[in-house]
Amino acid sequence: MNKRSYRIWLHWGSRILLGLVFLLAGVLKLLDLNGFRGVVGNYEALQWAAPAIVYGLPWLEVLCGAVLLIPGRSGGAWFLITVLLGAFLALNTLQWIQGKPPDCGCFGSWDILGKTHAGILLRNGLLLALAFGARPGGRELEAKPESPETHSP
Amino acid sequence: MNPPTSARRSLSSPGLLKEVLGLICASLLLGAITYGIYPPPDPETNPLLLTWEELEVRPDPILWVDARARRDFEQGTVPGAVFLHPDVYDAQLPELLMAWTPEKLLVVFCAQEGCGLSRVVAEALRKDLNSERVFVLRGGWDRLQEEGMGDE
Repeated sequence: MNKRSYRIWLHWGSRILLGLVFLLAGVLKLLDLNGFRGVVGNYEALQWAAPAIVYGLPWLEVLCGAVLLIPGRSGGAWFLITVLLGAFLALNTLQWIQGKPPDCGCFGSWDILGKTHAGILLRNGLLLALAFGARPGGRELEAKPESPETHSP
Repeated sequence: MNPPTSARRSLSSPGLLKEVLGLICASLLLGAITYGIYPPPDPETNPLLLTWEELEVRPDPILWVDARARRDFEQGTVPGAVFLHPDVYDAQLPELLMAWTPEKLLVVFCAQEGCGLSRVVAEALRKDLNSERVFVLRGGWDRLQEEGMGDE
């Protein structure tokens, strides 16, 4: 596999994984809006925008995740996902410093890594690594996934 | 590692800005529709919530349940309050049961209006104790401090 094929597979592998994770996270929040409202209520720093976060964030995650899964331009969705991951990382670190319990509400009751601050940081770090792999790479990467054989010398 | 020229182009404005704004607007629109279909529960009709004024006129003895983080509980709480955070619910429940008698009203509080921990604990206690005499204090610890109830 040459360097270009490797780059294509890395881009699409990361993009599909990241898209699925965000799609799932958004759907799980939409299925338990009351639970998610409670989680948002635990973050004092978010109270000024709580209704917009409770009702808008799950849809933003669903839409960004879906855009990443569809071949084509993904710069906007990738940018928003990276900003969201950075914000989640900062909020969790703030909660940890303040001695508040870990509860990111990221995946509802399926959230195994979300039970500890270290677990949440680890997961966000992994997702940021995926975001780095899925960073927009121009038309030749984003148009459609092609088999590596197409690009073999 | 520098992205290729085409990659830089795909991340450049105004195309990127348009995509970002489009996604945010679409999310807010869908969120507004969801809000219309599933509005938040009205606190005035929530059977779990009690205001400070409603509590004041009730003659029942109260057992306070502190659902905040342990560090907050240790820094100051209501005299006689029992610590019961959702993460340690099973481990702490026996301590609460030792302090509780059925004539006591259980009133759960967390940090402030809107924090969800007290609701989670109150719902679990209602189920486990099979009692309707479990409530959430509206305004939480903020309200208790306003009323001079904290022992900081």
